Amino acid sequence: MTLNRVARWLTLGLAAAAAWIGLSAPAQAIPVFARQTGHNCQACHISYPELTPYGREFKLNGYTFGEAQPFPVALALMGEIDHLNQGKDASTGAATCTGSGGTGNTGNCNHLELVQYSIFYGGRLSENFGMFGQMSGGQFPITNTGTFAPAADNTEFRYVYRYTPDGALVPEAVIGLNMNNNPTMQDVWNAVPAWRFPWFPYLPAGYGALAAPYIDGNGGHNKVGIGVYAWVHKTWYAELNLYHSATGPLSFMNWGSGNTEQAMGDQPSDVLKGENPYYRLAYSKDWGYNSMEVGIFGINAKSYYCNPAGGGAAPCTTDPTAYNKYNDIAIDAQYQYNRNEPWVISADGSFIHERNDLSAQFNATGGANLAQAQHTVNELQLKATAYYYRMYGLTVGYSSLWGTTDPLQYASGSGGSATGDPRSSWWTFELNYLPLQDLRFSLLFQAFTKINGGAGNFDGVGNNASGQNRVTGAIWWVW
Amino acid sequence: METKMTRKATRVAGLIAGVVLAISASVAFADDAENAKTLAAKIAPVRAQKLAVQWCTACHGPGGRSGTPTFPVLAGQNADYVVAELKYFHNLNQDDRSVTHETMFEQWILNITGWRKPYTHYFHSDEYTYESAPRNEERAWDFMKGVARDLDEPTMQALADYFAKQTPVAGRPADTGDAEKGKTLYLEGDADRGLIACQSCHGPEGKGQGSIPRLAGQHADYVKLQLGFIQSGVRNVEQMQALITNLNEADFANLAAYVQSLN
Repeated sequence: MTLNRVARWLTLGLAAAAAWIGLSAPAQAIPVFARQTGHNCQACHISYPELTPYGREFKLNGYTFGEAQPFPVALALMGEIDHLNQGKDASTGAATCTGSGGTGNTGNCNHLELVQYSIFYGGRLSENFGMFGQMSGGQFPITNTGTFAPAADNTEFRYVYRYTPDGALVPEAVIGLNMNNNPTMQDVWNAVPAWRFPWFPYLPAGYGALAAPYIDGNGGHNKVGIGVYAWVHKTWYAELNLYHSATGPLSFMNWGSGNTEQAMGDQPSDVLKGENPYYRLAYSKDWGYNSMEVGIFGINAKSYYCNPAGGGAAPCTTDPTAYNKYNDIAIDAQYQYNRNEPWVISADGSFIHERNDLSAQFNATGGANLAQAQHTVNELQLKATAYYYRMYGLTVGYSSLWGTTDPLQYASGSGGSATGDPRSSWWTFELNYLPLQDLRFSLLFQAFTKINGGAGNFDGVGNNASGQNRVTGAIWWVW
Repeated sequence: METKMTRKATRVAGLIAGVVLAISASVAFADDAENAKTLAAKIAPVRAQKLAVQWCTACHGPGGRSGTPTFPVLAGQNADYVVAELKYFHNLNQDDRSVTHETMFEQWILNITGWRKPYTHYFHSDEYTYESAPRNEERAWDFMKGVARDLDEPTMQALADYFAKQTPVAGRPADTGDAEKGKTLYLEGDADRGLIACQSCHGPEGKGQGSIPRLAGQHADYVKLQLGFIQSGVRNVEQMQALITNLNEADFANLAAYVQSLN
């Protein structure tokens, strides 16, 4: 059977199982951890995936609270319908949806997509050992191999040791070992790239990708971090992790999406050189109904420019040992007010600062697509959320990117930059309605005030930032 | 050479062996059941200590001295009351599908393989009826239904004993409510409105007794909320509902402020 046919039968089978499981579930159907602990969603979540203080405790204790379940499985479906004004894929030139603009295209585009299904598995494996497992498939190209074939999504294993001196009423510290496949997915605060708002839209707009720091995640789940953390007195969190490409014995953490160096090296910054340190320090304080956190995190990554194993889009005609360097450091903060009823409020923000050295790319391409080797990239993300009786929610988010002007890296052309300045900023508004604790309807508005250095005609061919404004309706159902 | 006699003898021998096996097996299982019960009682305090330190503290704080009014103080709480509450929360899982949150598929597999978790024991009494509640009372259920789901009675008792012997939280003033007015209501009641003095059950110092909870030092916000739930019947405490039916929000705030101030 070909991969496509297998994928189709698998999808049908999963859909049938999902339907059976879903139809037989009552209004209080709840996913893996909920089944393990018996808790309702809002014990651990402001609104999934955002975590409450108890949710953070649960994760930092290795997902071990409660009783291991015979079938620790849960499912999720995410669907969205988008209305975009215009868009043209900057790399392929193909219109993902047509719209008005300087390019002369006309018309609007509306997309209805089942963007992703996920199967969650894991939870408590023993008193000291637990895991979070997720596999996903869908329109969003997690796999890069085709639609709906499942592949590894956020996955991590934890082994925890609770240091409890004799007579102590509570563990003084939780020390943990952690292995995960996506930098920052192991974190428990909500501003980090792996978990931050917004969780929709999945469908990219018509323009090409904006500048983004390395730690935002641009290689799916092909990096495996092994590290250690300490959660001391429920106040201090410290973590050190080393990331390595998901090759050899680590390749199981990236199953389904190509786990050989050859397959991964399709584009620059996919294959890491050796071990790459990630660090995280956070201070947390809970008092009354309030909870706050402030911290730093970062990663120093070395990434081969061309594919050391040969093949892919960047074959090694030049020095195969050459690598690009990305040094990201970030500060984040979070505040939550959780009185459970009627209001729950949360706000968080992060500022990521990257200094990169893309000499490997610069030398390999003879300066064809970079004006210089060294750049900075800055990213600011802020958001505030309010929920009323955990049923009605509103989130306002502000995002801003800026960095070194580089007329070759950010070149003119549809979706590019007329000036080489990557500065972009946009607002995201999301309205939420949860008729059931595990079913969320969202209405999202994104308004762009600047893209790639401009508001009007930002790309030199007539596209305006506001032309990328979008309305998205989304459903996120878990059970 | 096998003769008719030998075949018959074999069959009889087999039958006798089977019966003997069955009897000894059931004796052994009965012994095992007895041993299991004794073992459970022995394990319970150890298990409870571990649960209390590793899990309960996540919400109720060290030794049950919670810092968040969402989660009541358990330190120094009367053991009988804690046991009663845990049984109540355990019984909330009776709604058949949510007992183990099994899907139809899982139920089928567990039935045909015989591998089923023993969620068959519920505490039968009028006190422990399952009621549906509006969303705002789900708070206790959000957390405690699940926690109590997997506790057996010896563990519940051991947990209750653990918290009962912890140092209680000191009294402190509340942000809202008039503690003086609350004191009058608490110690004297209000005959006009059908309220007998709270102290007649909860004690002159708010320490309760038996399965009547200690209130002294409890979070005012928590007490206020519970009084409202009891008044509306969302939380089923029959002895109290009639007594507080004529009180209002301000009364609850005053009472709550008073009991929080008690040591």
